[in-house]
Amino acid sequence: MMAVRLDPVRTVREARPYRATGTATRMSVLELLRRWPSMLFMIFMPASYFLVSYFTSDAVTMVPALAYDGDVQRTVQVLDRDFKALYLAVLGISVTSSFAAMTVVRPGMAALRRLRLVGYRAHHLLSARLYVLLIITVVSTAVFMAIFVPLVNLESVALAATALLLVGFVGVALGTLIGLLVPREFEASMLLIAAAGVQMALGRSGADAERFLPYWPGVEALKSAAFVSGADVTRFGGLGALYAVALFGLSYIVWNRRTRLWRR
Amino acid sequence: MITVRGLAKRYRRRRVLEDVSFTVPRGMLTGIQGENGAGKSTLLKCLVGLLKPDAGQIVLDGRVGYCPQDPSLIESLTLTEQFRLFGAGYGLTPDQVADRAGTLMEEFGCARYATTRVDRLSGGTRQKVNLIAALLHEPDVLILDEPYQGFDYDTYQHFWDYTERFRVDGGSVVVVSHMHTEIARFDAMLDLAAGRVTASGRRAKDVVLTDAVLTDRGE
Repeated sequence: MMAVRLDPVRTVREARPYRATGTATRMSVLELLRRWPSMLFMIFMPASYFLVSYFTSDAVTMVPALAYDGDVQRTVQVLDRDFKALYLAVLGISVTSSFAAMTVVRPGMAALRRLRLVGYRAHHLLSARLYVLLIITVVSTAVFMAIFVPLVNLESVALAATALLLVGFVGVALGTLIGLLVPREFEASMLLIAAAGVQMALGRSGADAERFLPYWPGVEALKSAAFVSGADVTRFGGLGALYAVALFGLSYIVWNRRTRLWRR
Repeated sequence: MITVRGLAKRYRRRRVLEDVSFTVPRGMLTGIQGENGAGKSTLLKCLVGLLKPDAGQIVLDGRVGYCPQDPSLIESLTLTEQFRLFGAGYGLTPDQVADRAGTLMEEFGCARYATTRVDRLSGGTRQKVNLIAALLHEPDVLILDEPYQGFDYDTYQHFWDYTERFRVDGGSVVVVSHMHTEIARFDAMLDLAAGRVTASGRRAKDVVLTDAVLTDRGE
């Protein structure tokens, strides 16, 4: 083995990017708008599943549901159809947001590395994509709420919307991380479907293991908002936000690694 | 100016570059050739910072324009949007980008596609966009990995005219080339084989560092 030393590359300092995040965000929005059929499909698919399942359920069967008010857990009798609807809403929002995130962060990694070379920093490019995902999450939540509110008896519409947004943010964070970590789209998709599907199956069966899954804080916040009058959802809101921040933090680390340049 | 000393890179057990040394002074057009898998693209990626070498030293003096072998572009953006994105990265204002991109699109014959999405362009036109994205900021050093794949003859000629002007103005150019008919265009040619470079051409002595090899081929 030859004896050579590895020295850092020296270059003349290049110009700072011009309005980097703003420009990258504007271009990411344009990319998103041009993929509107895919986005529409991602909203349409879980929404149609929700509607079919809701309208094929009866409106008389009552089931006991455990819902939190702050730290206190209560058992409330609710319509089975409404209880099922909550989980279907979570399934819809989580699948939509996590798939959107996966499809927004995965493609064009070679182009993104070239943009790093051109002068952009990792955070410019990632935050541009996250702003776009924020738009997708808010839009998909609004679409779901428009379907949800007239059909399901909710104690607090505002808190339910907030809880669904929380599910959406966790979905975006999870989709971003899985999209960056798993090399092939098929495997990544299966993992995201599994995360939402297992959450739904465990939640409806009342299994304790549900609390170890990423959407649990959002689900609990949603149940409280829907079934408990004047519920305090601060704890689950905070926990969900913590999950999302932790997942985004991990995503940033992976993103930075995937797009890094050795000479910067 | 580009100076490379003792560059080494391996992929797992496969040694691709081994003690590669050369320099490309200002105002010089240098080619790199070698068999498929000889490490040409790896060398260029190490030069620009996309790959971390295992050992060695690289000095790039000036702003760098890099054109990768395969078009690395945001597919759903139009040419104008694409150049605005790249231009902002280089630190150019939208007006500066419009000026510069307009001139380059005219020169390389793709101005009529300014509002067309990249994913709707032919392979040759995508390659033009790929090249223009490397030239927007008027770099001092050009590092081009087979930049003219798919070019029509006129654009191919424009490319060499541009490169010649760039060289005369004092820029340093490195071009990976597979075409033996082009050898005469280069001031020097670096042959990459078994991880090492040998230099040939009319100014071969100018690119050689102490530990590189000089051959008389092409002189």
